[in-house]
Amino acid sequence: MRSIYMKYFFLLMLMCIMSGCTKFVTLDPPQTDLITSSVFSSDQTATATIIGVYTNMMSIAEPGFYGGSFTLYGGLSSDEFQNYSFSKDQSEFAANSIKPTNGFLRQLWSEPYQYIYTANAIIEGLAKSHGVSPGIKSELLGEARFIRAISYFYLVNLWGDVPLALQSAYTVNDTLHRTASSEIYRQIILDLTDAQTLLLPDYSVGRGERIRPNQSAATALLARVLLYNHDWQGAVNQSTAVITNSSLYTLLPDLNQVFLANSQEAIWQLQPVTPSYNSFEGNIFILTSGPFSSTASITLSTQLLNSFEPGDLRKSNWTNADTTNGGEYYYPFKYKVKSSNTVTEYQMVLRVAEQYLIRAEAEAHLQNIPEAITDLNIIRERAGLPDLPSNLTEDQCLAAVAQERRIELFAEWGHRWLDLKKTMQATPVLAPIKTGWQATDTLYPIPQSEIQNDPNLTQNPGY
Amino acid sequence: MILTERNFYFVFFRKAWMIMRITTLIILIAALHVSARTVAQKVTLSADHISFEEFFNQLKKQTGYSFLLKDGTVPADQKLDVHVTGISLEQLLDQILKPLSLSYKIDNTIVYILKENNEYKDDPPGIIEGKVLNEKGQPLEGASITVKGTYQGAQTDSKGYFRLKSDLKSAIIEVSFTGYESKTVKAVPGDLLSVILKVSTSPLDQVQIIAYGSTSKRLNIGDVSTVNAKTIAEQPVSDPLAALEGRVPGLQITQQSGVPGSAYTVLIRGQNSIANGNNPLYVIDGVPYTGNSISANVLTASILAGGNPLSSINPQDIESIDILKDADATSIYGSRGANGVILITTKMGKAGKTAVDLNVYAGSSKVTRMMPMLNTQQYLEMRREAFKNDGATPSPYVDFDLLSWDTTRYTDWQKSLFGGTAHVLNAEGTVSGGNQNTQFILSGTYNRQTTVFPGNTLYQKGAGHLGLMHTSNDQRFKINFSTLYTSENNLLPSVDYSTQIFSLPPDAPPTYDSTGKLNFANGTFVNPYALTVSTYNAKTRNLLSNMVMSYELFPHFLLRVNAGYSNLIMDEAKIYPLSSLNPTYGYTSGFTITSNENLETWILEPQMEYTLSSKFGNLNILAGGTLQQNEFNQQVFYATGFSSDQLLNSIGAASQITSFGTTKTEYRYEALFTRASYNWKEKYLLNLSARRDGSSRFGPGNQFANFGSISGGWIFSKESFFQDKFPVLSFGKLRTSYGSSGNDQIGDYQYLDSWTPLFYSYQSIIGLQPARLFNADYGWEINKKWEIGMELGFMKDHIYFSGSYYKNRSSNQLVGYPLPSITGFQTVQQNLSATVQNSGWEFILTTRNISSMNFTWTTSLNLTIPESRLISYPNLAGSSYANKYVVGSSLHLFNALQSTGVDPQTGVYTFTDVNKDGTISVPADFVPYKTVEQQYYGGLNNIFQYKNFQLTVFFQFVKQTGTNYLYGNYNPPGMLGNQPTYVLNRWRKPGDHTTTEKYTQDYSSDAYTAFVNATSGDTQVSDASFIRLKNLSFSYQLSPGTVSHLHLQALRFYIQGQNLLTITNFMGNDPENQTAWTLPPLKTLTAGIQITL
Repeated sequence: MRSIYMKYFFLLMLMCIMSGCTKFVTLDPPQTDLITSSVFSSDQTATATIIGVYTNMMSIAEPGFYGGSFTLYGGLSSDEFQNYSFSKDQSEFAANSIKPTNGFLRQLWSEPYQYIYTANAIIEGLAKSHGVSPGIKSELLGEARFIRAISYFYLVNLWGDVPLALQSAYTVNDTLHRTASSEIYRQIILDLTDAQTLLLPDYSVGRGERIRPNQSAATALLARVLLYNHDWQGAVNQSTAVITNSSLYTLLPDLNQVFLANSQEAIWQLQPVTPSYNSFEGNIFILTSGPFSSTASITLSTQLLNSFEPGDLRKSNWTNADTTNGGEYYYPFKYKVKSSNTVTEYQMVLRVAEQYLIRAEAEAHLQNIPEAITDLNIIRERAGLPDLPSNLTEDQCLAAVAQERRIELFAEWGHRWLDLKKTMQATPVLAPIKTGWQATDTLYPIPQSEIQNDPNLTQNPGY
Repeated sequence: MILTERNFYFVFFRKAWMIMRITTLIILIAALHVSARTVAQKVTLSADHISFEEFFNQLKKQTGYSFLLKDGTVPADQKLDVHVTGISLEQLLDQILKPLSLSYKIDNTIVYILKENNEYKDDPPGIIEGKVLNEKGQPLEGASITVKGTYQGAQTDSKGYFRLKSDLKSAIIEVSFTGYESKTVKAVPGDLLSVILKVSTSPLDQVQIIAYGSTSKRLNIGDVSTVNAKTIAEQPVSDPLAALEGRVPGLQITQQSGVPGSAYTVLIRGQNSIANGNNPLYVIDGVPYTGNSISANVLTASILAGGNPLSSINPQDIESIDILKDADATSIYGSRGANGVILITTKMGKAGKTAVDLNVYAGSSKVTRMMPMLNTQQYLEMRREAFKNDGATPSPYVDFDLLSWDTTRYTDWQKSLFGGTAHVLNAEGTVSGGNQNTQFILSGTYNRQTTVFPGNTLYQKGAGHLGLMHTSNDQRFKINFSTLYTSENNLLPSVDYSTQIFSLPPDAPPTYDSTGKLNFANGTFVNPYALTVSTYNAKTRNLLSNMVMSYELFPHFLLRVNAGYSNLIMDEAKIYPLSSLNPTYGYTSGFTITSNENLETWILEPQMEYTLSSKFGNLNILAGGTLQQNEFNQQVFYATGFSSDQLLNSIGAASQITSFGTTKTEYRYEALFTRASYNWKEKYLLNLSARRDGSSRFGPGNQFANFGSISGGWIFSKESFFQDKFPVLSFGKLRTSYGSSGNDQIGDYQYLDSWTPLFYSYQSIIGLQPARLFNADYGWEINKKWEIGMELGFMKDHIYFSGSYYKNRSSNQLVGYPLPSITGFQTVQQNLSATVQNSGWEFILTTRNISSMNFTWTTSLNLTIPESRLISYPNLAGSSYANKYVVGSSLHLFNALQSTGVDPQTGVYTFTDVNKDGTISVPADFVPYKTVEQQYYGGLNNIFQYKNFQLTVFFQFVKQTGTNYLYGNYNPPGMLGNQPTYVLNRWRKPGDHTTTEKYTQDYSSDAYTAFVNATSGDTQVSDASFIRLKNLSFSYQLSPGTVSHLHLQALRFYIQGQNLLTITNFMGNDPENQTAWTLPPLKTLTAGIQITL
């Protein structure tokens, strides 16, 4: 090579390095990602952020928190399921002997906080945005507030006082103390009340599908939250608002149609996203060759099966038995599809039947026994059961509500576990059937890694 | 004289100008080939109208002599007509030169052409000039010439020519060159010398590869350890990292798994970074190579323990592996040198006869060690005792091992799942050779290994290597080109079977039913053989190419460009046929997860190098720049809905294909660097280096940082005082270095506030989720290294000792800071104000014990005593590391509950209640007093050579604490699932003093709670020291007489063994990888034959 070329080549290279300095090592964002400012500059990308939350709810670590875990672990903690699992983590839930190192426990805890973070980031992103149209902005804000509320609802019910993160900055969130559960509830109510004004009453954002929370979803959840907070009149008002919206919601006469996609009973459903699944719960609960090493490895407990009244259509339609191996293993059969590439069932989150039961319970507390019994009978009639006598006392009426909730809402979102705690029945009901039961088992332990990483977090008593 | 910056430039330019003038005067017709035999000096030449240059060239061809003359000595345009036959060289020269008033002088094989009237008459008196050659007559560039007793000196140029002034009438000059024995000659001004240097046999004179160059071990101030091709060749390993274990002080290599292609942990001088990025920088022939697996984690996490890209480098193609440790050696790599540097240099051909070398070995491997597990009888006893302890009876729901399985069956699952024999075959062919200008090497290697697992698993590697080196006739232009290409095909089970041994009771049902189908026993049995049907397959192609071009623009001034390219491509597939899936999960089709990765790297490094010799010593200045870019692409797909298991390999046959993510990342890096090396009389050495780096891994404003080092050496054995008083001391050097380097081993784009798309769609929209918690403000991690070392050679270097003490401090730590998940994520990238110190002692002792004609015995010992300590961490208590580290203690602290043994009354584990609140709670009752670390480690090598036999015995020893079988074992003895026989020493009745608590099978029992506490307890840490016969190599080389009858150049037979014997008290499988959930390393024995044609 001629030296002159070599020299110029070399000088060129050196100049390139010296002049190009900062430019060379300053990269464009990766083609696969969008930077936050551009995310919140259009309706389409801003909408994708909220869609991301629902997608995660239906796909994180099968089964994720919203994709069946709460049903599974709530059911194991209470008296709904018989455990057949070899898994130490699952067996600890069944034995009410959860250790802070339990892997599922950490999953249960961190997933709602992941949605809370995203909801906070969306709220902050929308506040700074200019390119998102006002209608979409209002819708997305409403959904974010709703997501934050429902996440905190489950956190506060499982763990009691929990840290309250209302913005996305980790520099603040990483040292949060636990906030009193009354404060958490106040925030939930605030979020839901705001969501009611921000969200549309219909399902137009879901293009007719009931897969995005609307105003009624906020109202329905608010009804539940008010009930949990002993605001009986508030609970009556909110649940009534949903029940009377008959153009959208009805109690379906056929029990086998309740959990179908976009059924008239659904207030909010999650759409399946992963291949070959409909609902996670259908997949993990339906047994084909015994429970021993199926995904969830549970059957319905004898306590639950024995608590159905004779002739209850819910037993014949919503439970089923697997007898393939000579046994008789009963499993929840609200969802009929174990796996299929054709989607006919969506994961139900909020449905109208619960609203009747909320109103009945609140009315009972308000001494409006006949109103309560009317609502209970609506649920019972659909199940093919006779009406309740109209002369019940308040206690009898509340017991009837509890029984009806147990049967109507079994294997759904851990209602039984939450109800036992809400009505202070956990210890009387569970102590006789669970060896080693302690009153402190009503709250789950804070995961050990959380206590290790946040010096201000304290453990629940008993752990 | 101290070189300040100002007079440094002055000297630089003045000398440069002078040297340019001188060299234009000289033409040297280089001696390109000199035969060792005496050349017949009769010449025959018949040519018309040839130039003098052509004339001398013709003579050189015939005689092998070189001709040395000054420019202008012969008339450049004069043409000659020569017609002679068989006359002597002298006659011919007389005939041609006499008429031009020229004379000549023949000295050895050099012919000096001189003007009769003494051509030096016009020069000032006292010029000594000449050239320095090796024994083959090749010029040696960069040899240093000093005049004894003066400050005068010079260095040879690319033609081996030197010129220096001397005021002395008669001078003694010393000529020295890296890798050669120094020579002293007498000279008188006006002489035209020819100095021939012999290759040195002292290990101190071996060429030592350093960053961007080479030196000798004698003159190197930095701390660099070398593992050469011979040591690598003695080990039957397919991964270069495996060949380094125990060989190098300060280098801690741990094999994570015995599966071929699996991960190694490599730490040079300890863990500098608290959280991540402790990999050294790998540079292969000048091209940075990734130390991180590029494979999709979902696919390799289990079977390859993460995977290891270095396995794509064929050990047989490596000439040397150099481990750069201290500031002097690593600072010039700036931001990438914090964790040390591993330089891999590939083989290059040598001038001479073309050699064809064939080398084949074959052998077999088994796992090093298995822990004893309960047999069926012991197991059933354990289970029944557990029920008795809990006052319970087995449940038909879950206790199949007692109620429904055949309790007379016994399977040793370790033997069944990884007790097999793996077969190894390695074949290699090399052709190499060349002439003085051009050398080449071309080689191909095929390596095949099966595994110890059941099923048809296989690892195959094919590797090709091409190396070309060319030097122009005038020696000014050089090009060095090398290419490595490797193709790997790894077919493995999808999961490491070792994960299964704790969950499989010894009375488990047969793995296949009577019809030959996998037996799931109605879903009560998780059949491990289901995994033999599901496979992991990785095909890797690795191209690594590098070219170095240099041009000597003017004497002692080189321009050089290093251009490199590497491309690592991987196609992975994990295939789960329907037949392998537990039928109760309701799958209707098998599924396949595929991933393809592509990592492309290019690097361009223009450099200039200037060497200056003067009476003030030798100065070498290197300056250059680096531009580097990495581009990584990855796509993962999940495919299902296959109509048949036969089609699982063809993703197109899937009715449903889901993207599991697309990754596209870019990394860019640039730097300017310089190094000045100063050497005065090979006695006082000084190095300065500086680098300015920019990395795209940092956010705007934080991209650039400066690094540098200063180091000095004193070869005190050169002082006459020592030479006189301690003649036994043949070599003595003191050296010290101090400097900084950085670390940018973090993920790309961590500073970016962005959202990333999800895999699935909801409402037909692909959703977005936050990519990370972003932190725009983190900056460089800084590692400051200090070292002091002494090297001693005794009795002509028959005994060589090297001792060094180092102290490295890493601050502004870059970590993925663990966060509580209430923040929405688990970590954030940030700088910690923590300072971590790694210090330690390193020793090497090499002795040539016996060195006689027929028998030689050499011993080499290396020892490292490391210490790691967290020096400071402001507000540690308020951080998420509060329960992990203690200021002033080791970084490898094992924070745990302090076990106080098994309570003789209750039979359950007890622990110290540190906060005295009446309950044992985690982490409140943690006590930080145990560590999981190496106290010292090293290797002892003995090489015996008797006539044609050679025996090498290498022991590796490690004194350490490690995590035993209890670590990560969440299944208490008594539950369904097997246990090691260690648990037999359990509590049975009040008053028993035991090491294991009572058996339990109840999740609400006290014993279970105590067991869960024990999983956070200190009993998981115990001694994991071991001594291992790491390598045994025995070879027999046929004597040259015998092989020449066979028309061969060499023939050698050998037996080699790796990890043959392990002595340890470790409670678990193997003390090296210390986990019961991963395949232990393998021991291998091979036999081979090597033929050179």
